Amino acid sequence: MNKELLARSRGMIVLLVLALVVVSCGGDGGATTTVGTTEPAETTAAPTETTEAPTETTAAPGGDITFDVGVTEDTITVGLLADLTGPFAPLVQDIVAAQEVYWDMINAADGIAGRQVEVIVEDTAYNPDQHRTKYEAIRDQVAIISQSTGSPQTAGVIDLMLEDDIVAIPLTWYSGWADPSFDQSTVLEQQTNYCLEGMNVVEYVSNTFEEANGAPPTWAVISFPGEYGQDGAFGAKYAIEQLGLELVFDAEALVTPTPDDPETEVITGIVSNAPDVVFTTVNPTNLAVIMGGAAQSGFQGQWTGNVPSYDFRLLDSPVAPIIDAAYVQPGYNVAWGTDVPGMAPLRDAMLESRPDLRPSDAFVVGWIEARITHEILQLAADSGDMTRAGIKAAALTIEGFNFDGLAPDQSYSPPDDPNSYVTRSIAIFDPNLAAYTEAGGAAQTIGTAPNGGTTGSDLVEDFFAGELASAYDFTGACFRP
Amino acid sequence: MRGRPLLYTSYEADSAMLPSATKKVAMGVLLVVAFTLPLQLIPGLKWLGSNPWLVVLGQALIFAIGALGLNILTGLAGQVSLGHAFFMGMGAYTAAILGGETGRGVIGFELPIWIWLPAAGIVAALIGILVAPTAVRVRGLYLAFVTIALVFIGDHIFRNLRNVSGGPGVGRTWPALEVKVWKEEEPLLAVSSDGSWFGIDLSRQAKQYIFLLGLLIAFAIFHKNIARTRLGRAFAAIRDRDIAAEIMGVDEVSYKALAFAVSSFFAGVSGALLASFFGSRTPESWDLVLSVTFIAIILIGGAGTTAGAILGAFFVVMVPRLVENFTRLLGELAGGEGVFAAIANFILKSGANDFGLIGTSVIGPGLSTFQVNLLLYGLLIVVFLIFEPLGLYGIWLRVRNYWKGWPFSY
Repeated sequence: MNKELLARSRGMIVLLVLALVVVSCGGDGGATTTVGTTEPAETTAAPTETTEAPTETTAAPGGDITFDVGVTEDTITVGLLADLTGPFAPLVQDIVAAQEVYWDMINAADGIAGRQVEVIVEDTAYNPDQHRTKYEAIRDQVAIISQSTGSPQTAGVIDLMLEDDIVAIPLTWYSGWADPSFDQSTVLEQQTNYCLEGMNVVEYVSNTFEEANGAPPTWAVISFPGEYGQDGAFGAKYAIEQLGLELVFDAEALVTPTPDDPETEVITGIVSNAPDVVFTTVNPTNLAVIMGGAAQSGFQGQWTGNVPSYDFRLLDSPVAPIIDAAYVQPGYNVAWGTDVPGMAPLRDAMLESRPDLRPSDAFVVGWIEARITHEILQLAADSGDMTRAGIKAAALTIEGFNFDGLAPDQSYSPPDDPNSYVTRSIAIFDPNLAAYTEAGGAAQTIGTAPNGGTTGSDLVEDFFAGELASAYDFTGACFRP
Repeated sequence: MRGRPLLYTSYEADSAMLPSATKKVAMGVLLVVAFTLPLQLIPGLKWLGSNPWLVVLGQALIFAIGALGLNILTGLAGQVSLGHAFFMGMGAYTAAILGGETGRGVIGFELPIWIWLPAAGIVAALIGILVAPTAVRVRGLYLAFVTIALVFIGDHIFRNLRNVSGGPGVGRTWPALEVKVWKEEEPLLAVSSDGSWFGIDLSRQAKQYIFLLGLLIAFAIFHKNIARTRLGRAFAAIRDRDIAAEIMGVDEVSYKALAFAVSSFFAGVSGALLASFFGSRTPESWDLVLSVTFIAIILIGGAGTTAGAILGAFFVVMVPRLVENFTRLLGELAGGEGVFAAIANFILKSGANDFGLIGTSVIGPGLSTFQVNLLLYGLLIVVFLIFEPLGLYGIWLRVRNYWKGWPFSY
């Protein structure tokens, strides 16, 4: 055997050893991260043990709480199924970072019911298969899912979540989450949904347009296919029809959710039909492509759309001037730095823990997810039942939970009557390029920018529900796939 | 004459599936271990038998079936194909139409698995024969381009046949893995629900794993038999020099078409199983990335060998999860004391001023676990291509040969 081959085989042996190390460590990791529930017998035994406990010792603190999966005498495990490497990664990373900061803060203040909160973050890469595999990976360890990214992804694990009797906070605003016949209340919607938002946005923009121009606007609706795009498009088109306005270009489900699609058909449709306002249910990348393409062909109308169409990072892109001049930005929650009571604790915590990050509206989303999860766990602890069933029951009693101005009040009760509890209000913001650039633009960090920095979203209309959204009889999901 | 390595006294012995007693015993042990994995009997391997890992292994088993198919075409017959995802999609939608439910805008006939699973393979194989005439006219890189085109044609068809695929961004559901005689309520063999088999209580994940393992073994034997018989030798002759093969009487056109057909059969079955295993899929999931994943499996595992394709599938599916667990373990070690804690602290970056590579939060400073995962994964593929063209199977050969002559290595 010549030298080269010898060296090569040596290299391979090193690699093999490394591989073996990785495999064996993986084994340890798998074993240690499984918080004692790989054998079902153990888990089922736990609650019976603890239910007997009060009769023996009532003095033990926290001993009078029953629990099963994901909760022990001194810990509560919370799971996040987050898109950390997929298309929404920049946004979701910020959201998860804010949740981590929140739970650190709670743990420093003695946790919930004397228990420390442990967080398991799993990357789903926005892939439904991976979402399902990762759910399987954590299902025996967590008491609650404090974030599940994506509509089809979350819908894809509903059957498993129902088997486990667990509740999840979705990072998606599909109207099906508020529809008990769709998810049997296992997914707890946050704020309003794409559909009701679409109604509010169309009504608001039509009114302001008419005030400014003396005549109502004509509309175009462009959207992705599926639970996001068509749910938003449903709401927008419902409002356009109810208000008696003209829909001059309907591109529902015509936008392709791939970043490299030039969207020629949609752009041509917008330019040739020249609507006064375009309603978009897409993502920021596609929005930039379509806005830029339409502007190049001379389109000068107004733009608006569902919340996920917009990202403040668009102010770093070439379409920033159009965003600044012509985009009406709705919000389910307030933007970073908005002057509401709930913002101070968030800003202080982020300043203390993560001054290195750049300001982001997504922190508010993560903070809200964590706050409602905290409330659910606290209610369950107060009721003495921290089993998964107990946690779900506690969640479904929530009425008018107050986010101190960060978002509208949240209710899940009574669970079989969504029309009575569904959140209908949104806020309206105006992207402000000058303020954003002045504060330092993309170079801002929370620690160095004045007042924690800004994402350039000026609040112009605090939380409101329009006439159409208020009157809409919400009995179920607007769009059913 | 017994017990001498590499000495075969008959042609049958030389081409036997497991040519030596050692191999027979080793395979027997491996099969026992594999089948009893869900029972968590072996101390060091209990973690692999846990439900979360059984799901990962289930996916690996399905990928292995698909990889065996591509291996016939690419590894044995030498035809590089990037169209594997297209054939998987064809198989999956055949299964969805025959076995799926009608409703929500899609059609389905709710037929049992013994119809939809073979049909998935057969339909994919027929389509393979259909496209073969164009494919046999080109070689190498050009064939790769022809087969890429298949993926895009498939993408267009799947997106637009809404009553079959459910449409982009929405998708549809697939029949569960259940063995039924016809459309009865209680399946003959309940694979997708918890319950007992032969008096042993098994979870749904364990049952699916065992079911898929059985299927993989059947397909692996099929694959091995192709490789070691007349058909396989014809494929190899075409791979090594097609003109020479034709001079020797191997009908190139029909053998290439046959390679496409058999490969597509495996792909169709694998696609149907994958969709059924995960329950639902969107039409855009049968994309080029999936095809490339299978090429990676073949290259990592070792082209042309049965064991290589299976090893590669397990490697590609399991490594990302192992890496995640490894970094998580580092995080736990860093909190402790001793040498390991020091090493873990060295690798981890807990704040802006701390030295290290991997950050402890999902977002800076340092790389997140998931970024490291992607990097490491890519790096491993590059390392394999450069240092070990024979793949994992090549490593295994070296290890085996080393011990064969031990202690006299050379």
